This record gives sequence, C-alpha cells and structure tokens, in this order.
Amino acid sequence: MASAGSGDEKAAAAAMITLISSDNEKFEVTEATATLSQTIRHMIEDGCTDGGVPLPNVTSKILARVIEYCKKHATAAAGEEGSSSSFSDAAFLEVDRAFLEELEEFDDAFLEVDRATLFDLILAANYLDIKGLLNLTCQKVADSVKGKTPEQIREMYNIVNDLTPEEEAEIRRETQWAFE
Amino acid sequence: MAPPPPELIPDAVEEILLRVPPEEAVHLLRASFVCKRWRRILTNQAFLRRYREFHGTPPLLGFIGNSSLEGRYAPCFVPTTAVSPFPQLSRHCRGSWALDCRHGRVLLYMSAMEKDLLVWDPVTGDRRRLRVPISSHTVGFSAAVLCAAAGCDHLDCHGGPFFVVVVWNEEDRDPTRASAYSSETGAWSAATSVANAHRSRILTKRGALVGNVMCFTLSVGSIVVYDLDDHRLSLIGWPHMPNARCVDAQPMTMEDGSLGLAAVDASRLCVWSRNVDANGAATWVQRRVIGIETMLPIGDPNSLVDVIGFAEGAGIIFVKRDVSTFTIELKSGMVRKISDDVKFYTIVPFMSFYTPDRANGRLPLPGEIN
Repeated sequence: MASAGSGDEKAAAAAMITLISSDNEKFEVTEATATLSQTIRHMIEDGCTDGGVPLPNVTSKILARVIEYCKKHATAAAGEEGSSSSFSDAAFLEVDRAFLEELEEFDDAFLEVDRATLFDLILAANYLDIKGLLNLTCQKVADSVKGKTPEQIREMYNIVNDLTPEEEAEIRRETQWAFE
Repeated sequence: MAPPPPELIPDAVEEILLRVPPEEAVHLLRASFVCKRWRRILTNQAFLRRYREFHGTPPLLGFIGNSSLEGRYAPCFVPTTAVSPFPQLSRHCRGSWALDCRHGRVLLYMSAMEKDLLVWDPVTGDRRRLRVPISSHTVGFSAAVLCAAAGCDHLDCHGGPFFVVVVWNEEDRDPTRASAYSSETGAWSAATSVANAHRSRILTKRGALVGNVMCFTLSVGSIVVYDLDDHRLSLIGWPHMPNARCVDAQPMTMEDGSLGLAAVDASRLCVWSRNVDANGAATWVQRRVIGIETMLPIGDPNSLVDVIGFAEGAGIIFVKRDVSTFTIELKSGMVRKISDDVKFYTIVPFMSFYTPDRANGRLPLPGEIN
C-alpha cells in the first residue's frame, strides 16, 4: 500500500479511505466524510477502495475544497444524530438551529470563489454525486442568471452565441415582452 | 487578467438551469436565448418535466382582480412578476367576473344574461365557452374549474380534460344545488342538492379544493361541500367567530391539505383549519390570529377589512381595506400592499409554470373570441 497511514494506526485506518486526485496527490478521509459522495459510497459497497480511489477528473486543488465541504457536512450530520439523544427537546432545537446557522455560514463562505473554481466544483460534485454540494454550487450560478440579458449571461460564462441572426430575429419577434 | 472560465459540460448546464427560480418566467426565457445548447435544454420536454417536479408548487404569476369600471364589472389581470407575458384583459371582458383559477385554467363568468362561462388557459390561449344549466333568477352562485386527468400531478395540466363544478341557489329558501361539467363528455351532470336550513345563499367567492371535494361558502355561517367522486353535496358548520361577517370569509386549502377558513373577527384576522381525527370526527382549530389594526394601518380606521382571496401552495391570503389590496404571507406574517387604486371585490390567483416552450407568439386574449 502507498504512504497512507502507518502500521500502528491500522485500527483507525480501517474506517479511512484514500482519495487520489488527477495530479496524484493522496487525501485520507473518514468513511463518513467520503460517503457523502454516492459514487464513493457505491465503490465502498462494492469493495473497490483498496489501494485508494483514483479520481482522474478532480485536481488536488478542487479535491481539497470538496473534502473540506464533506468534512463539515459529515460532522454536522453526526452532531445532529448525537445531540438528539442527549438533550431535552428545547435544547435540541437550540443546538439544531445553531448547527444550521453555522452550516449556512460555512456554505456562504465556501462559495466565495472565482468562477473557474465554482465550475470545477460543479463538475466534481456532479462526478462524485454529492447532492448537497451540487445543489449549493449550481444554485449559486442559477441565481447569477436571474435578471441578466442573454448577452450578459454569455459574457459571464464565456458562451459563444451560435444562434443564427434569423433564429435570433424570430425569437425576438415571438417573445417581444421578454425584451421590454 | 484572469483566464475565461472553462466551458460547462451539458450535465452541469442542466443542473444549473434546473435551479433558476420559476417565479419570474422571464429569467428562464432569457436563458433560452443564450445559445443553441441552452435553448435545446430549455425546450426539452423531459428537462421541463424535471424542472417542474424540482420546484413543486407552480409559482404565483399574477392575479385577476374583480373590480368595476363605469358601472360594469371589469376583471383585470395584475402581474406579480416584474416582467409579465400576460397581456391586460381586453375591453371585451367588461361585464365578466373571474370565478376561479386552478390547475392553470381561469374560469370567467361572461354574461349575466346568458349564464355563459369561459374556461381560459392564459398560457396556451385555449378557450372553451360553456352554457351554465341554471336560470337567470339565481340568487347565489359560484363555480370552480379543475383538472380531470387521472393521476395528474397538476404541475402542467395544459390542454388536458377538465371539470367545471357549479353550485347555486335559485331562490333564498331553495336548496343548494350543484352540477358538474366534463370537457370529455361535453355534458353537465344532473343536479344534486342539499337542504338550505338558514335561508342562505352561495357567495360568489372562490372555492377551495380539499382532497376530492370542492368547498364553497354560504351567506349564513356554513360551508357547502361538493364531493367530486360521488357527486353529493353536504354542509359543514363554521368555527366559533361571533363577530365575523360571513361574506368576508374565505375558504382555503391549508398547507397540510386540510380545509381552512380565513375571516376577520373583531379586528383580528383568524385562520382556522378543520382537523379530522382517526375516527372521522372533525373539529375547527385556530391556526393563526393576526391583529389587523397594526398590520394594515392604511385608510379609514372604521373601514372594514375583507378576506378576498387565497393562493394555495404559496400560503398567501389577499385582504382588502378601502381601495387597498394586501397580501399576507401566512408563515411569516409578512404584509405587502399590491394595489391601492382599484377596489377589488374578489381575487383569483394565477399560478402556473411558464416555461420557454410556452413562450411562442403573442398570447390571445379571452375577449377576442366570438
């Protein structure tokens, strides 16, 4: 096995998964963190994670961010489970709200990235099938489309307008109200 | 300068476009003009089905307010969006009254003389005119339109079969009657009836669909229930509201699917829901009480506040004070003034998805038929 985990940490390593980025950097994460990705969850279920999970579509820079997201959300999920048994209802609700607020703040800060990183995160979330991350990142882009003209959207996202002048003229004619 | 962002793969574009909010139809429409690929996605039926399912409740795009102008009824369409695809109702609609809107269709009462109804789909422009099987002496009358497609999720009912349910009283002491029209058979059912113990009459207010029954209000503290399955009428009493005026109450569909009733009782807006327990016993439970004086401090303090409409799914009720109309969001209690120059008698909300595949050509007006 590669450099992941030394011998005396064998017991702890049993629940650890090694993720390998496209530029061959290795990341050790707990199973709870890794299984936020449905893709990895299926690989674990199929017993295909020995020797690490190669992720040829994800760079180390992006994978580090993805892991940061998964760690936070896995911890929050575990925290909620734990707290339900040890707090009274009112206290539990209080803790619950605090968790949610903290998570929201984390998500907001997490999205403070440039557009290229945001796109890479979307691609990674899609490939790794991490529902929460896909929702978060796609919603950010979807919200940025609101109130923009087609020209502004093309400029923002580097999209080439391949509609013919005839098609554009027809669209404008048919939906004049949208341009007023 | 930073390099331009990488191109998005088609899967990601779909995931992004899926999340563009439906409340402003123009956002999705403008996105469909960006390039061929975006246009293909946004007019693809499988994607659009997924889009509607993702957002669930159709958004409120506007409402039809029943008002009067120069002595004639004049319904007008008021968009609740910044840019609206829907044109103003034409002059030809003068004298008509919007009774209902549900599952994407508007039901207009076109002419008092001929008892004509018009079922109008503002998104597709489809129109169907019906002759109502009731006499011109009718003292109380209301009607509802609903989708008749089996197993429909009511996210996109355009073009499908529909029912129209009419409830009425010929005279004050007469029983309340009901009849249903099916667009598939093109015929009205034989009338069914229920005794009218209190000399009351059906109020021309929008009814509420609760499960498979339509509920309408009567002028004396009760609700008439029409069962769509077995074509039967029954009555249920009101919650205890000693100071409420029956004509100002509005039946509604609650978020949990139960029957609700909103009314003003001694300067307080009360929202009730009818809870049915496991044994079938029903009780009214007060869900919300909102002090009106502090929330609607506009106009003559002695002027009455009426509940004139509700938007199911959106959790919004419409109230009127003098010539001002407000929306109250039930969850947050947030009040918003939406009109202050037209007196609306009742309001019929228009809730529908308006996806780019629908946005072709100018939409016809209901008044343009004949």
